[in-house]
Amino acid sequence: MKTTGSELPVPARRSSWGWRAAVPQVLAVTATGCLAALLPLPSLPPAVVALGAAALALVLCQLWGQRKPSVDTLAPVAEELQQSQPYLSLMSEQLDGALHQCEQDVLAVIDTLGGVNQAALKQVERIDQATEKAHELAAVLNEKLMVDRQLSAILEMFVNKQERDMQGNVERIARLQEVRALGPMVEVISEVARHIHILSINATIEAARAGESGRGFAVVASEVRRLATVTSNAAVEISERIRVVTVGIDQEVDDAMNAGKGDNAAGSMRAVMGDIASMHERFATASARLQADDGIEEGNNAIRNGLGDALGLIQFQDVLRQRVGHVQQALGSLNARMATLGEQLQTAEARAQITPQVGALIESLRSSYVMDSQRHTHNVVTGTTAGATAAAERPKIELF
Amino acid sequence: MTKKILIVDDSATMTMSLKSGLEMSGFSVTTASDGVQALEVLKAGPKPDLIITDINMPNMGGLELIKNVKAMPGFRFVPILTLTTEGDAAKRDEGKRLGATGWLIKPIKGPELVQVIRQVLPGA
Repeated sequence: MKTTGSELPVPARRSSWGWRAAVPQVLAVTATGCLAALLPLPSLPPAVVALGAAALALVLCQLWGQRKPSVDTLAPVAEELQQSQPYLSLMSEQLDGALHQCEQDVLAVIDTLGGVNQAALKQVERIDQATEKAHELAAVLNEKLMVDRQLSAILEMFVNKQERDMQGNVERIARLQEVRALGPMVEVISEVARHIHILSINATIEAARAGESGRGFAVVASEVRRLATVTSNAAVEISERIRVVTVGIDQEVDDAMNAGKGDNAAGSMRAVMGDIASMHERFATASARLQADDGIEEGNNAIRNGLGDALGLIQFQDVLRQRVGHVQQALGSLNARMATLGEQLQTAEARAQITPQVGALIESLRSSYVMDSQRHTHNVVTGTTAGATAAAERPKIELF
Repeated sequence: MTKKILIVDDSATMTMSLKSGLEMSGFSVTTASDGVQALEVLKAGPKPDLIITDINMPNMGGLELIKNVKAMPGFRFVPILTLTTEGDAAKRDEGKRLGATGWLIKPIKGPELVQVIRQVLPGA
């Protein structure tokens, strides 16, 4: 019979040689001698005598082998059976110790997995807090971006207006330079006034020549001369004022032109606005990244499923415990049987009542199994197939 | 609302591993080491939404526990799943006759068990 577990060591067989083995030969020789001495037979040939002695020895050996064993012969056997009891008990206790150690270690693993889960939950909490802060930062950034865009639009309008105003001012100031064109006209007026003054002098001279009739003409000439003088003086003043205005306008034009060329404030402002727009783009990109999920929830689910798988696999320990427990029970039954045999071998009456029972013990194991794997192992070892097909078809999960 | 589950098993490693796994999945879990202790827990309250029990236990086994629970006032419709190494078809049929909701064979992976529980407990 094959066994799937470790085999119990079989005691070495005692040698059948020794003085007991020589008994049949001694009896044969003794019997042959007596036979030859007592029987009134004619002398027999030596070969016949030897043949007879051999036959007699053979018969005596057969009878010797069929003799009932004495108590002395069975005593070592009984002693061995008794010694097997603590041996089997020891093995059962060893299994018990292994199971206990295994259970302690598995509980420690469960505890450790629980710690891993707690650490993972804390990490999730930290990630959630960081994500929440990131979302808040993103909201602040978005709000600032919106305000900044509004300010940039206003600034753009301001810069555009400023440029337009500056250009308009330059153009207006440039148009004011047209007052310079009045200068020649003032020259003309002065020239006319000078001529009128000369004419008035001539008119006064002619009026004096005319005598009494020229007196009225002399008054007119005098008045014309006075008007010419006033006109000339006015022309000089106008010319001076035109000159002053022209100088002032020239200065304003120069200043306006210098403001457009040297300072270039609008250009600098536009450069700054460009930098601000670029920064806004980067902020917008960063804000979008802050709000991205990046697979955090997926990672959390993977950790949770992995821990759940590990805890489920730990159930192997309970299956192992039950199978080993069943083996311990079977060892106990065998132990009891050995003890009974040891007692029965002590007396002839008890020996007569010994009946083979280990075979029945093996068969009785079948009814005590709970797992399909136990039945399968039993079938493999004993060479039967009872219940194998049904076990293979039953699902592991059934909802009624 | 958090669903409550009572686990009944004489193996400390089974109750600990199931408790840890189901609590990770958001369930509230209490345990008992055999049918007698389970009945005491049920009488003390609160009533669980689901019971998961082993079959072969000392003092009171799973089949007897199912029979007793179904007879308790207010517990007739509480679903009961068996989680056992027991492969005997006759015991499985007996469990079904007594009112078990399902028959699960050990070992079972955590996510698989949670999936079965969610089928049995809508809203879990």
